[in-house]
Amino acid sequence: MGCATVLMFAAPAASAKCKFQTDMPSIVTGEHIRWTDWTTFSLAITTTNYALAAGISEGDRKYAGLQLHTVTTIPRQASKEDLDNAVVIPAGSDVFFLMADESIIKVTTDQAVTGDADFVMHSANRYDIVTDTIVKAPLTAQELHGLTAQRVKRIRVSTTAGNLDFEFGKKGSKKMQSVLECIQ
Amino acid sequence: MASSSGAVQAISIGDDKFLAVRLRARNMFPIPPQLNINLADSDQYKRTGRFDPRLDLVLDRLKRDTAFIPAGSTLRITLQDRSVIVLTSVKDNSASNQGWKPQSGEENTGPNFLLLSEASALYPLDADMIKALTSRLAVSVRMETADRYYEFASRMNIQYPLTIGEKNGQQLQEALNCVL
Repeated sequence: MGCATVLMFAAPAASAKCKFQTDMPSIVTGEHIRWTDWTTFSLAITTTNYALAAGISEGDRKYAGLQLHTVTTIPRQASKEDLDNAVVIPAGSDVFFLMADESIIKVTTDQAVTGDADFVMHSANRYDIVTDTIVKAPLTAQELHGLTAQRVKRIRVSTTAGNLDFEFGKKGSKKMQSVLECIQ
Repeated sequence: MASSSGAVQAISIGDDKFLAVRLRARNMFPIPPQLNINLADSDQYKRTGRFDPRLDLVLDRLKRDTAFIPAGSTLRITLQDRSVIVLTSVKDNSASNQGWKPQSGEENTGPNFLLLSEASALYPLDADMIKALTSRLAVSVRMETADRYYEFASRMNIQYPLTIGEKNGQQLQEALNCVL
């Protein structure tokens, strides 16, 4: 048991190819904040939605960062209320990672998030609401180990408007492993 | 999405410090469907629809409302360390709007109203905000108006979406440093 614990935490040092967009102390908390570069996924399904991933650490806390890009079409002019409610992920929402061995890692968010939405007008009765939402899924050491040990096949994020699903090919999910390894 | 750009200025009035932001935006609006004006028959439209007084009323309303920044509107700045500063405007700010009716023959309106807007708002800064804004570069700026939000960066750059770039972040810092 003790050996298993040692193995679990004896993570490899961050690879030399790790690139960080943020790597500095927070001006507010003083904690060291690290965000890897966002990595793009290869989508297995053709869709206007896509997701990016980053490994995030804030002090001792680790997160899987997900940037969700979604497009929703509505048949009328988009109001500000439409924009404010396009993607809302309350604290306590679930993020599911379906792994290559069909196991599921479920993580619960600890911060409410509202997506940054804007609209594109196509005609008087067709508007696309385009939203970018950054979700931070807090990870325990075991969850982080689980997410880097094998490929992620699918990610599901619960929102107030339903679930957002992202399904990825082999190459894309390997990229997610690589950014999470950077914060181990 | 609206095509927009922004400019910032730091202002000091006695002991009070402000961040001023100027928004320039280009917005298109369709003819409201309830007006039942048919653009498909362009000759008919040019003869009648273009001069329909209801279009003038719509344009007047758009010129009054577009890019209006009410008191209490927010300016959200995300810093390089991922901390977020939210500034709040203290008074109503009307935009200066220039507008064109659909297929007016001027500008490139196409079948829509075209509004070119310029609006400015003042956001008070406290000591903590100034410390944060001068210590860390800004990476994104999102400005709220009465009817929508404006991001001063593109969504098209997948690797750095909605990011204003290091040079713009430095310009914001330089402006603030000038009034301290």
